[in-house]
Amino acid sequence: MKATRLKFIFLAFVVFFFFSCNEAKYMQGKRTYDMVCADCHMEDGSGVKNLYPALKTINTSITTSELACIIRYGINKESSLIKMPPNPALKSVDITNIVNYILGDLNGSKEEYTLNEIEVMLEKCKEASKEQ
Amino acid sequence: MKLSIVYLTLLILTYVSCQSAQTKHPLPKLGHTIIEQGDTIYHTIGQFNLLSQDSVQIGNSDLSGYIYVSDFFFMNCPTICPIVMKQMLRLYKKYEANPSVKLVSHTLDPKRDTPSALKQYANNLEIDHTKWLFLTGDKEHIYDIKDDYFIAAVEDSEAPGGITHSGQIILVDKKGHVRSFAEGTDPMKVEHLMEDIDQLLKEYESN
Repeated sequence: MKATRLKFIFLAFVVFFFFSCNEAKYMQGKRTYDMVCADCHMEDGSGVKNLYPALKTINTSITTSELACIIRYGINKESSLIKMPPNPALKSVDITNIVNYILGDLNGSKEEYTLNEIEVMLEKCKEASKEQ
Repeated sequence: MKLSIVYLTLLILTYVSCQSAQTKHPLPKLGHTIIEQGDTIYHTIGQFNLLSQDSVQIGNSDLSGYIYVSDFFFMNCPTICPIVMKQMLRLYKKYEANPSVKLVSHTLDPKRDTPSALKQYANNLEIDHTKWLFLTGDKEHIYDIKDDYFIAAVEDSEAPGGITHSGQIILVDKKGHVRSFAEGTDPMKVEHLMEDIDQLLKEYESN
């Protein structure tokens, strides 16, 4: 009797820790996101109205390659009131982690991008930024 | 026997301490207080004359009779400002329907943050321009005023955006006295500020 109760308590702990550890699937991406992106786009990705766009509802409004390129090169359009600074210090692997965190954890997307795929996307917008 | 006395004393102490926490004292008037010929003179927001996002001149008389929350920011600030702005937006939403409450955001970068730029900024926040004022003006004047709100700010070419400043949100009463403040980057502290705002509003209701 006592043994079953102990087992039950143990199991309850395991289940509890399993769920509490499982908050973010992409922890590395979350850490970088919290450091680099969260000041403006907020930790939960809710943004601030139209000034700093929300990132938790971008599933359909932006392509993954646009997302990766904006993270690296920022937004510096004449028309935008607040310019987003570029992040030259972020390596492709950091950007891959952030993209997976934003899409997977904040937007609940099932798709996951590999470093190779993101590098191809970044290479393309590097060429595009040269052409301008 | 002895133990039960200890428990009883503890119980009474806890009860008494809870009691005193329930009776709320009026919010203090913060800042330097002078006693002159028996009169107590409290710290008050000094004379100011600034321009709103609608290019309307705003002075002390435009805010007297309102209680308002104030912060200092600038549009190109990439660090704490968006977080504080989000909390100001929270305050705006909570007191949107209360005509006694206003919000006042001062720019620390008047060269770039002109009235028309601030107007665009405010438009993007989708707010009522008469309830939430974005003020700009002569730079030295703004940097003088910030002291009255106990805000620290210095230009620093090495800081992100070029200015280092504190992100407090300050609560000012209808007579220009500072009554409370909160760290604007901390949602929990802003929660307490809301309680103080509610208390201040009640003080005015009962008078």
